[in-house]
Amino acid sequence: MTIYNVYIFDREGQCLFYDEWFRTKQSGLSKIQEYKLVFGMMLSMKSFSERLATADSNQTVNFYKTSTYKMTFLESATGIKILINTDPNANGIRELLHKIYQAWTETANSAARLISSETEPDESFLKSRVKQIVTKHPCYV
Amino acid sequence: MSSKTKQNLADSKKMSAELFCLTYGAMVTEMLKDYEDPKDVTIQLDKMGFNMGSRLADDFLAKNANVPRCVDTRQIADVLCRNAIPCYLGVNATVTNWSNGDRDFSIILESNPLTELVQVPPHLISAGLSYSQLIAGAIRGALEAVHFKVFASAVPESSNSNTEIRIRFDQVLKDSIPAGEDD
Repeated sequence: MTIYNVYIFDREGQCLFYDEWFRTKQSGLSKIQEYKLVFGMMLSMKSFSERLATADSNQTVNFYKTSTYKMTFLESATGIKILINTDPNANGIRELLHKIYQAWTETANSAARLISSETEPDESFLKSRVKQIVTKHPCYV
Repeated sequence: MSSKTKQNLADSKKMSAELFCLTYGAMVTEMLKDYEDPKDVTIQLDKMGFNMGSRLADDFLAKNANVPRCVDTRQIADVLCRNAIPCYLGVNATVTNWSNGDRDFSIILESNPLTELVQVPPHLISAGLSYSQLIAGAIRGALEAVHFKVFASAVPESSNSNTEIRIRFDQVLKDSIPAGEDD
């Protein structure tokens, strides 16, 4: 099993973080274009599924799956969206996404960053944190 | 749940409550000198609280995975009192004074860590200083981050040590879809 790549978006659709591990084939789009399309697809899936929902309740889109990969979504109540591509049979991905969310909040809200008032969270630090979390997951490799 | 929040409190980086309380007091004093009008100080404290709250929201959600998505004000009040306030202020809180068809409610803090060593002069209170507005602002900021627009204000300290924070629910905010993606 494999974990391919991860995207983190903010509320406005800005890609805050991207990393990949076993992605052997690229989409052939520029990175910016790819982020836009991924985010747009997620928004559309959300609104479309809301429209089709059979009951009026708070529902969430959890993932979509093809024969070769599965894209799992996590949207926090604050609007942070984390998307991850994995092997279609991977499990425990929601927990993994939550751990990534935790790592992101800790990095983005760290005191050092708030004081230095940089807009971008410490990219390399977050990268190593996320990598650590992902490589520990049983579905990695 | 409560034992879990206590754990969170224990392993997070801590600073002495007294030192914090004194630092906060010194800051408010300095602001009173800078702004002259106590009302402006209240506004600034509210803003500071708002910025803190909007960041705390993510932190809170990351730490408490099993808090459900709130659908009404009763639930919001419940999560605030049972999870959020004990986690970040280290005190217990209760909800009372429901009015206006569940749109308004008050949160009573069992004790207020900000005013532990402080006596706010009565003439400043009557001039519009709300010493604990920081907490109210933080609640407003945190709820706005999860798409609930509320108005929150700290009711001026009465004789007992409880601090009342009055919250009025305004509306649920909608996520805007980014414009200009058609290229």
